[in-house]
Order: sequence, then C-alpha cells, then structure tokens
Amino acid sequence: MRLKRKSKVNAMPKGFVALCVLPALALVLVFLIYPTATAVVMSFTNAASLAAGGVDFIFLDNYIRMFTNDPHFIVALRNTLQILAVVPAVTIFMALVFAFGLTQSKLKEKSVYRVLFFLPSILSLVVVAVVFSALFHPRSTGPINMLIGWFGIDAIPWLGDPTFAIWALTIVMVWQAVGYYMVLLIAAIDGISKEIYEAADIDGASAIAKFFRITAPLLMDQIGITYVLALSGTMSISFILGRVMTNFGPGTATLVLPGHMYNMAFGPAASFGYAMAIMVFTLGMALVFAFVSRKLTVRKERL
Amino acid sequence: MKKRVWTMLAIGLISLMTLGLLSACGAGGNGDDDATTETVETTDTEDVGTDDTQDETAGDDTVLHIAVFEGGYGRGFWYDLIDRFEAAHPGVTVEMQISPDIETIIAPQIAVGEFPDFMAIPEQHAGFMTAMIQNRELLDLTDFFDSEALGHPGTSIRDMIIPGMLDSTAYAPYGDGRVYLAPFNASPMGPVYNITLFEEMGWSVPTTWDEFFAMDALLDDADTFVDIGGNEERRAIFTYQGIHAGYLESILWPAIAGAGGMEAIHAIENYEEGAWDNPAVREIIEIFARMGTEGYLMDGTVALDHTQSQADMMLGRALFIPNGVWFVNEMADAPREDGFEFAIAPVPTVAAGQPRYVLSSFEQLSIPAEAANTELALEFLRFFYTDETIISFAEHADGSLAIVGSREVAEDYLSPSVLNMLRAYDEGTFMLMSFAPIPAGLPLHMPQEIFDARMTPLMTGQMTVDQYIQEMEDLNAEIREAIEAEGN
Repeated sequence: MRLKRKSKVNAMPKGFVALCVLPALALVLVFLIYPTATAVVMSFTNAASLAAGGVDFIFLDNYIRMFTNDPHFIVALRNTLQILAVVPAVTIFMALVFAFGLTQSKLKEKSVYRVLFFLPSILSLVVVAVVFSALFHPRSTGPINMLIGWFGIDAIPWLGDPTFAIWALTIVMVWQAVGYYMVLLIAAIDGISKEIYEAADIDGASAIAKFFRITAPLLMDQIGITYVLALSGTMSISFILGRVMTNFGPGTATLVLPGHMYNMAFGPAASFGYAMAIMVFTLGMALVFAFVSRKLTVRKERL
Repeated sequence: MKKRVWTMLAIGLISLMTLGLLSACGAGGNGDDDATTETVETTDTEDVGTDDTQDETAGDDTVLHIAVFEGGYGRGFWYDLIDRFEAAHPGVTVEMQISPDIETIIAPQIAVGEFPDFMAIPEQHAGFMTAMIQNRELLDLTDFFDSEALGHPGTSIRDMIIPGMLDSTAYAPYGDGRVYLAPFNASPMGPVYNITLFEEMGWSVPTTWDEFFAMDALLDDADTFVDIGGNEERRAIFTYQGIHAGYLESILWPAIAGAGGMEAIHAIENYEEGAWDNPAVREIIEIFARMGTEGYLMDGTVALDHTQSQADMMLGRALFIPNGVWFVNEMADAPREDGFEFAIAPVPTVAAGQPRYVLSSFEQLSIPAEAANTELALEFLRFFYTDETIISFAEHADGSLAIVGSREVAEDYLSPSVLNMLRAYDEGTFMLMSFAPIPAGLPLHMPQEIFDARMTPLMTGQMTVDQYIQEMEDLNAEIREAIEAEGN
C-alpha cells in the first residue's frame, strides 16, 4: 500500500514537470534551435540578403573563402583571438582581486567601492563607448593624452593608431566588465566558511597567501563559470565598442568576427550566406573555448 | 524509467506539432495584422482616403503601399506628397512605412513575398536593395521615363531628369541602357569650406592640387591662426571623418575624373583590368597618401568620428572637410567660428585647365517587379516628377530633386546655406559614381575595400601606393572572374 502510493507520488510530479518544461523547450526549439539550424543551412548558400530569392547551394565555398581568400576574416580572427586571450582572463583576475579585497579588508567605505566598481556594468555600452572615445581623444588636450603628457610622452592618436587601437578597446572591455564579475565572485567568496580564513590568520598567512591558497582554489568552479560568461560577453562587447569607437578601424585594425559578420550580412556587401558561415565558425569557436575552459577549471578543482 | 522517457518524448513531439500548427496560423494572421499597423501609422492620411471611398472593396484595390528610408530629409515631405497624391486621386489610399531602419522592417516582409508597391530606399542604406538589383527583382522603368511628364506637355520624364543620370550605373545597373531605378534627389558633395573665412583672409579656393598644398604654407602665418577657448591654434588644411573614411569618396572620384576623365571612373565602376593601375589614378592615390604622410591632415584626424571632425572643422581647425548639403542640418547646433558659412568647392585638378568635377549624392526610388500594384506605383512616380514636388521637397526638407532647374524653381524655399552649396554645380561638372552590380552573395563591397579598409592605412603610411593599387587590381580581377563564372 505504502509502496504503491510512493510510486504514484513519484509519477505525478514527473509528468507535471514535463508539461511545465515543454513550453520552454518548444520556445527554445522555435526561437533558438530552428533559426540556428537555418543559419547553418544558409551558410552553405550564396544568399545575398534575408529577403533574396534564387539562392544556390555552394556547399563549402563560403568556408573555404574565409581561410583562403578573405584577408579581413583572417585579421578579424586574429583580433578576436587576441581579445579573447586577454580580456576574460584579465577581467576575472581583476574581479577576483577586487572581490577578495572588498570582502577581506576592513575598509569603512567598502560598500561605496562595491557600487563604484559595479557602476560601469549598468551603463549602456554605447554610452561607455562614447565616453571613452572622448577620453582617448587624439589631441594633446585629450584626458588620457594629458595624463601621459605629464610623464613627457607625446600625444598618441589612440583609436587612430593601428597598434594602440585594439589595446584601447581591450582596456575599455575590462573596465566595463570587471564590476559585474566582481559582484558574482563576492557572492561566491561569502560562501567560503569564515573559519578557514580565521585559521589562516592564526597561522599567520599573509593576504597574498590567503588569496592564492584559499580564495582562488576554493572558487575554481565559480571562476570557471564566470570565465565562460566573460568569453561570450567579450564577444558581444567587442562588436559594440568596435562599431562605435573605431568603426573597426583604422583600416581593419580593430575588426572582430561579429563585426565582419555584421558588415557582410547587413552592410551593402549583401552577403548573408557568407555572414552565416562566419557566424557558424564563430559559434563553433566559442563553444570549443567554453568547453575547454570548463574542462580545465573542473579538473583543477579535483586536483 | 524507460517508459517514462518515451512518454515524455511523445508528449514533447505532440506539443511541438501543435505549436507548429499554431505558429502557421499565427503567420497567416500576421499578414492581416500588418495591414492594421500600417493603417494606424498613417491615420492622418488614411482617414481622407476612407472617407472618400464609400465602397470597401474599391478601397482595397486602390491602396498603395510605400516604404521609405527616413534619412536627413525627414518625414514632412512624404506626408505632403501623400496628401497631394490622395487629393489628386480620389479613392486611392497610400499606406506608408517610414523608418531610418526601414531595411529591418521591409526585408522580412519581402522574405515572405509581401512586396511594397513603391520604395524610396537607397542602395547604400540597405543590403536587400543590393540583393534585389543583383537578382533583377526591380521593375523596368525605361518606358516610363520615355512617357510624358505631368504638367509639361510634350516633354518626356527623361528630359526632366538631370542629363547623364539615367545612363549611370546607379539607375541603369546592367549596362544595357535599361533604367530600373529612378532618381530622387541630387546634391553636391565635396570639400566643404567656410566661405566667410576665405573672404576675410582674401584666399581663393585652390583649383589645382599644387595650389591646395601650397595653401598650407599660408597657415604658418600667425595672423591666420584660430582662437579656440583662448588658445591660438594653427589651422590644418584638411581633415576627414576619420573612422568613417567613406566620406573621402567626394574627393577621390572627382579627382580621378579630373585627371583621367569619366572613362577612368567608368573603368573603376565596371571593375575593368587596369582601372586602378592607370597613371591618372596613380597620381590621385599619391596625392591622398601625400596628404596624410606629409602632415597636411589635422592632428588626430584618423582617430576621430564624423561628429568630432566636423565640429573641429566648423571651429576653424581645418579649412576643408569632405561632406554634402546635409552637413547644414546635421551640425545645426554645433558651435562654429564667427560668421561661418558653408560652401562646397569643386575638387582640385592635377594640371591647370583640367575639368573640375562635383560628385553628387543620390538616392533611388524603385518599384519591385512583383509588387501587387505596379500601375498605381508608376502613377505615384509620375506624380513625383512635378514642379509641386520640387517646391515641397525644398520647403519640407531643404533639398533639391534630381530634376533640371530644381534650384531655380525652389529658390525661394531653400535656405541660404543650401543654396550656397548648390552653387558648386556652377563651377564644376556634375558627376555620379556607382559600382556595377556583382554576382549575388559575393562577399565584396568595393567602397568598403577602397575607403574603410584601406584609405586610412594609405594616408598614414601603413600601406604604399603600389600595394593599394595592386590590391584594388586583385579585387577587380576576382570580381571579373565571378561575373564571368555567373555568365556561364
């Protein structure tokens, strides 16, 4: 009798759960999986626009062109890889340092810093881009040029210099994202038992030792997750900043994959099929990075 | 356990099918919804139409759907045009979709086969227009242009249009003389300068590139310095919109036309072999490189955007900036040097006495071949080419249409700044530049390659003139190959 009732209890929620999940699943299928599949199919065609008729299948031609006959794609790939190598790692490291500092220190104005660091994350990205365009103003009266001027360095046309432009964007990307990940990591650090830190204090561990021996290792899983979030976040931020601050220039010096895709799909180049091929490649690359970084952080946690 | 998985899968599949059906119904319903939203959008014009039309079915037959790119000229002109057209055609209702982002509204509608009857969407603002031209999806307007113009008995519409325009690739894209796009406006672009400053200093506008570069030495004189916020700054001779290098077209194309004639331009428009590796073109590319590498550019130009560089020029930091008549409205609130007054100069030439050209900005009107109501759309287009429209465009948009004598007809309605800029046509020859269509889906767009990707590197010395020309030749070769492959 008891057994029977138990199985009934089990059966009820499962059916109900399935019913509850189905609408969401259906929405994902219709609005995510189906369009993505369509994009993959279009990447094998010469579609000129979303609205174009008379589309031919050209199979792998778009993908072959990307690597053999499109110097802009190679530049965009190199820039994207450079940004992905630097931005998420620096962002998460700085976020971790700030989070550690704000939770461990005895600063009175802790909550003020917390708000200040988080502030850039709630600003519109376009606003951030415009503000930094002004800060990086190329004349010697530009704020950043004035700053380096005090050290006797000549004014640099930051966003107009093919070497510096991408680094200027990198700085903005880190500045913009650090606060957000800091808040996530503060929540994670709050989850670490206070006793561990107290024990370390009794053993006379320095702040640096506590950071590297306690906080970082215990947060490895959260670091892994935030790193993956930062990877995908960086991808979209790089597009917005590039489009507003440099128009992906000078020349193509700050062209990134989403920017190249956008130009091809919606610009007058009217090459939707090719843009979808770039999209599929970018998606695949992002998935591989996310997978690899998760694998690495999970394994480290177990060691 | 296994059973449950199967049950869940079955439920999943069934609900998916239901959802599929629902969405199919939704799509059907959507079409109807669209019509309602459009009606709402233009209620002011709509009401007039429905009042006049007693019979509902008759109203359905005479609805003209138009799609308009909302650029710097605004909406007022279009509302006026629609009101006048409806008043002249009792029973006809015009439903307009107008937006600066018209592509994102129209492209999905076209994708499901709902074509607007009439489009005022310039190619350079919408990738799907490029695609429609590539796929030959626009109505042939050749016979229309040979028909009689409204209010001008015995004159064909072709005769009203500024000479040479209908022969350009911008309107007759396939090189067979057949016209598929109709001219909208025409206004000069080129080096904009402050005519007051030139008059005060007693400078004359340089007519040759030598004079242009020589002018730079005059700017060393402290008397010519500009006072900005208490700082005396040396002016630069030239600046451009930095990260938006495409603005340089209004200097590059007229300069090439001046040095190599319109043949040189046509060779470039049609991707001909040697179009770039041509001594006249090389001379001009060298001038561009020189402008950047020999210090004639305003400091920091390459890092600025259009607003920043234009503001600097208006403050007096640079004598010339490439732009068009929209400059006046775009920067209406920007601070400027005392007495600043806009003017456009024809582009200098290499040798004295060569013809000076003025590049014209142009927008296009078109009718999709598959539109439901092409007859009425042609009527609307005929109505467009009238003196009343010329005046309305000047009155509501401070602009000039691509019709001969527009300026004279609308003189009383145009602002002094715009009239000043239109005078560039008195000193230089009108020209257009528009690339011939390339096979659909070929991911190349020459203006992007010529300006955005390479002009700043050329002007900052990152790229040599030889490299630049070679890369252009290579791109042309690739396009020619693709055109040939498509022909086979």
